[in-house]
Amino acid sequence: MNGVNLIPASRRELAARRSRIRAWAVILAGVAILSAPAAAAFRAMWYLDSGPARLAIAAAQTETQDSGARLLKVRGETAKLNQAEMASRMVGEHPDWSLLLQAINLVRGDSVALESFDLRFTPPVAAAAAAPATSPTAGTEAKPTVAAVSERYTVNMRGIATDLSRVMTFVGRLEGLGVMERVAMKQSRAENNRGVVVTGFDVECTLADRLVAPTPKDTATAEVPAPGDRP
Amino acid sequence: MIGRASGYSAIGLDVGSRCIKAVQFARSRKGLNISAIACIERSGKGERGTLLAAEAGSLREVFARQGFRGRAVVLAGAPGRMLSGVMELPPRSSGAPIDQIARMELARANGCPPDSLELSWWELPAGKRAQDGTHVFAVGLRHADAHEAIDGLEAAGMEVRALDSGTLGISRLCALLSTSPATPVTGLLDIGWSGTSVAVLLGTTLVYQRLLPAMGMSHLHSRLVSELLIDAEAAEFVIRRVGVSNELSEEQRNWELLEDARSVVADHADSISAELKASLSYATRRYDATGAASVLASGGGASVPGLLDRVQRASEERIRAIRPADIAASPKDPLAATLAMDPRLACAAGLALEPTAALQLEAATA
Repeated sequence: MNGVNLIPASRRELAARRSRIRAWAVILAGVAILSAPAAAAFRAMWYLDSGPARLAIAAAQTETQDSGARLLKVRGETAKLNQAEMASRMVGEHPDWSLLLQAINLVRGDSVALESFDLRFTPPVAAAAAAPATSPTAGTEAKPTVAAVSERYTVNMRGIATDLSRVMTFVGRLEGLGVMERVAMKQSRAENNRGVVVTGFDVECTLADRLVAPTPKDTATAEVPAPGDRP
Repeated sequence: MIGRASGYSAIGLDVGSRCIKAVQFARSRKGLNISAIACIERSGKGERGTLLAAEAGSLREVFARQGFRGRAVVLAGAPGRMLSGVMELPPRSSGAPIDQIARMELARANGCPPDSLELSWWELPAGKRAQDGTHVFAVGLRHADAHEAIDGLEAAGMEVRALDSGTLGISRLCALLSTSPATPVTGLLDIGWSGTSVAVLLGTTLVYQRLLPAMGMSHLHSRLVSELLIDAEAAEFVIRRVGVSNELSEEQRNWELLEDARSVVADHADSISAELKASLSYATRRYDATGAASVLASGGGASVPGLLDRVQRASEERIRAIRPADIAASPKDPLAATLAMDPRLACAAGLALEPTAALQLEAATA
């Protein structure tokens, strides 16, 4: 032993702490001085390199917006075309009523006279939409399915006949045409027409339901798209 | 320790009763150099080892003017306030807390709380007699005394790196000189103004130390004044210029009180010799050391003409003064070179050599 240090330990610890703080301050200052140019260089490089990338991002965003606008436009056009298609179909596929009138006139005979002829059109409706089934465990609703879309025509005829049997014969012949789904004798009555007693009648005929293809509108209303599904 | 970056050691600071001594070394390719050296007379009366506030405040400025570098200082504790003692403790193998026991023992011997002092101890070599326990040499200093010594210097902007024992500082200097295994016992004689310190080194280990307050140069000065009825300046002249030397000028030879003065100085030297001889004898017998002992003297008393010769004759030991210039190249400045040859600055030089550097230098010398 050739040396001792009798400075109180508390004082030495304090001095050592001060020394460490000074050393760390110097180290931190050195690191800051050294890292400042690196940070500046990195920042400069970032800005220099980011130009093309920023342009590419902006171009992509613009393209996305344009694509969205084009998609909306196409959707609008599609809807217009669908409507036009429906209109042309309705007009193009309209029945030739002259054939029906000729057939009715043929089965009428000489003892039945028609006073009025009313043809009504019932617009197509979803004929058989399946009831939504719920799953108690999954809690999800099953998609409603559209089985068919049908349109219906109703013919109300009013006329007179020499007697009731002629009316019934007329009704039977109407049913015999095969185009009527249902022929109903709504009313019969005795009338005095120009001093002659005749039998008046009201007949309602329902033409057979005609299945038509569902329109896009029907499909859109009937089928609920799942979230995330793209149109 | 000499800093590798700066190349300068800490400033060794020995605060004496009459002057403040400071030494700083620098290492160069050629070896160790004394880069700065100073001996500042104290204006007021101060205790050895303790600086007055005004002195501490002006010290940094003085150091800067004298060419000292840095603000790191190794300070010697006041000898009168240092607590020391040899104590027998349980053997290391017993697992006993030797540090705690040594602290308790030193505190008990000096009547102070154990936690109020700073302690350092080292194990002594095995002695001649078979011993079961561990003998240690403990050195301590009360915290209050340490704070008092440091506060002034730190307030002046100095950094006290270590608070050391002056005797250990001198022992570091001696370690660079006496490396011969033929003389394992080395006596250290520090003849200061306020007291004389006798210490014994076994190899490089301090094994014995004794402070003799009644054998300081101030005591001799008082005796000269009182016994010869001369004034203080004349007594100072006798101590510095006359002593017990036979080489006197014609004017000195014609001084009527010459023989009386020489007699008082010789008596003082003989007293020191007796203490030195007893101390060396004890250490030689205690540690069964063979071979002739050598004595290295420092302090102001080592410069008194003829004093060391007288002590050598009386104690029958080889005595030589130790100076900073013995271990390092002297500065070119004539005044600084003169100070480098002054034994008073040996303690400051030893303090400047902190243990790590001293060991390195020792290894290099060997």
